[in-house]
Amino acid sequence: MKRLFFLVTTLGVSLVSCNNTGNVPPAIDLHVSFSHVVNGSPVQLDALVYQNNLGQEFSLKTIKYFISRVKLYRAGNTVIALPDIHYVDIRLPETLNYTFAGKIPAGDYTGLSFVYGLIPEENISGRFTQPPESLMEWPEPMGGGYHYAKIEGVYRTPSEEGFFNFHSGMLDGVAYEIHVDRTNQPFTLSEDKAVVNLQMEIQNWFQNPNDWDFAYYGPAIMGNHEAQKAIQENGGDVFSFAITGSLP
Amino acid sequence: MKYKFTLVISIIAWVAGCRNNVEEPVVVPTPYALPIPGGFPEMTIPADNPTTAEGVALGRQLYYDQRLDKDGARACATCHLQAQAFSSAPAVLPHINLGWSRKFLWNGKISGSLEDIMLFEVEEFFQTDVDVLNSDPEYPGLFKKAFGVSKITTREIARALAQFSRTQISGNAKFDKFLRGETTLTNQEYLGYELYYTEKGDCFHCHATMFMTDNLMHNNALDTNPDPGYFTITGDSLDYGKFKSPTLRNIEYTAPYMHDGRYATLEEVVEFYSSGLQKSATVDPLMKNLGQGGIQLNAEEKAALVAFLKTLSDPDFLHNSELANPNN
Ligand code: HEC
Ligand code: HEC
Repeated sequence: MKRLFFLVTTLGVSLVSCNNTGNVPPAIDLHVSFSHVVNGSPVQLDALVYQNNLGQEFSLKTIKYFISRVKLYRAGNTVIALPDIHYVDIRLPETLNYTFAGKIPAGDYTGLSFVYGLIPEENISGRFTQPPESLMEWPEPMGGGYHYAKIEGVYRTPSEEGFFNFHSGMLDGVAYEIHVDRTNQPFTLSEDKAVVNLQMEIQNWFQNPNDWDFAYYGPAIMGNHEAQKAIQENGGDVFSFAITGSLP
Repeated sequence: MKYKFTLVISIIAWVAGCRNNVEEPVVVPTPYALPIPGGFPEMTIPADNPTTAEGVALGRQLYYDQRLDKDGARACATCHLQAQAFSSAPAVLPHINLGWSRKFLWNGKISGSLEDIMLFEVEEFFQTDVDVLNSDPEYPGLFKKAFGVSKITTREIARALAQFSRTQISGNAKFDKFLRGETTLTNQEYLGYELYYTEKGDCFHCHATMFMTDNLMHNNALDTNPDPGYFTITGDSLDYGKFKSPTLRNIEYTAPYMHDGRYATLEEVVEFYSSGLQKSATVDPLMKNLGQGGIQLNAEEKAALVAFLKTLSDPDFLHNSELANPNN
């Protein structure tokens, strides 16, 4: 309820500020659909068929994360801020499409940003009381709040086989703000074209700039600053998006 | 607030629905407020089975009544003993906070609400003969008061048992008091708490939230050739060897441990997680250091983890007279 009110207020403000031409653009629903790829192809779960830059093989078993604080940037520096927090689990089809609670103005946009996980102010233990979100908890002895993401699987090197639990969270008190700038290639959102297909390239979590060494980081990185920092640095080019007309 | 509102609505709707063929004055069951402990989330309750004083009392009566069994040989409480947090040897799952659960039985056979698992217990496990209850001098009146029915069916029996089970709430362990700031942990318990909730021990990913379970299915690396578990239900080879993570609340009272009762003590369980993990195809990635046998705790850490697990004991739950046999 409060959320909705906040949203309506924000929209109201942004609509007013866009109103210089005298035409109020129609308010439309914004949808997002989530897809996950490795080297550009849809993720094949539970199969040891992938390889990182270091030649280590890996498989994927779990992909779970939050996105929040989605912002849409309009020409003329207006920002539409959406307060929703959405949980994604590649194994739960109902989480792979989401319609935001409030409407947005149709029109041209120059960028999109969001937070991978939660911002520190919203990363408060007890916020989610029901599964699956509640199961993302990040225990008090490690600082409290929630995992931003859990990516899990098996890796194999010539000398060993092990698990990786690529769990990221608020270790250094910073939000993972991800910004996709499209100033040079603006996109249009309209009544019949309002689905953002947000794609996660898993391979990019493991490269650019930091080649991820599964054997070095091991299966447990929640308390590991170096690992969390590397993940944050690698996150810059993990996401891309395209606009389509309808939900898949 | 929202919950109360739906409750009232559904009672009205239900009463209205019965009007036609009922001559006697309509008896509305008394709403029952569940004693949800501080820090616990709301319980989701199906709109068609609101918790009522009459329903809870009836469910309790049934839980302790052998006549529910087709052969009259056992009651629920014959295996689900209050002194052992409603469990018993070798592998009877306890009845603790099941009102928040969505997945039931070791192999995850039943998904859904408490009403669903209770219907399974009544129809398939006990094969209850409803005629026995219908011809009893007292039960028909009690079911009428609780559910407004003139004929008892397995559906109402399951609903009554579900209502009672929603009251089997444990939330007053030393650990709860610690979380509420009412007590402190000893140094040893605190070390165990840190092991449980950090990557070192890492129990919290599966024995998660205040319920100490994620209610999901995992292979925790018990055997090289595991029992099939969840595979029996899904037929998916990736589910081979997976079992429901049980709650660790009141774990001190529910020995022996695991789906086959293989470990007699918590010390044995901790030793298993420390050094006894066995490789198999579906072991969960959260079972760290599988190659080395586990999380590699030293003697002090093992003792601390056991000490922490014992802070999950809630003696009030074992002695709660409202959950005891009503005929004693
Ligand atoms: C003969 C002993 C026995 C009796 C009697 C018995 N149970 Fe059980 N109960 C068990 C065992 C053993 C399990 C675990 C079985 C499994 O998972 O396959 C269990 C599991 C359960 C569960 C699932 C708990 C969970 O965490 O998933 C519920 C609910 C339950 N029983 C309710 C009842 C009810 C209600 C009755 C009476 C109608 C009853 N039981 C009678 C032995 C018994
Ligand atoms: C990967 C998920 C997972 C992790 C991590 C995990 N467990 Fe478990 N645990 C399970 C599952 C699943 C079972 C039931 C296994 C079976 O019986 O086949 C279980 C069973 C148990 C039992 C027996 C419960 C009973 O009622 O019989 C205890 C005690 C236990 N775990 C303690 C721990 C401790 C302590 C840790 C941390 C050192 C831990 N677990 C880590 C999944 C996990």
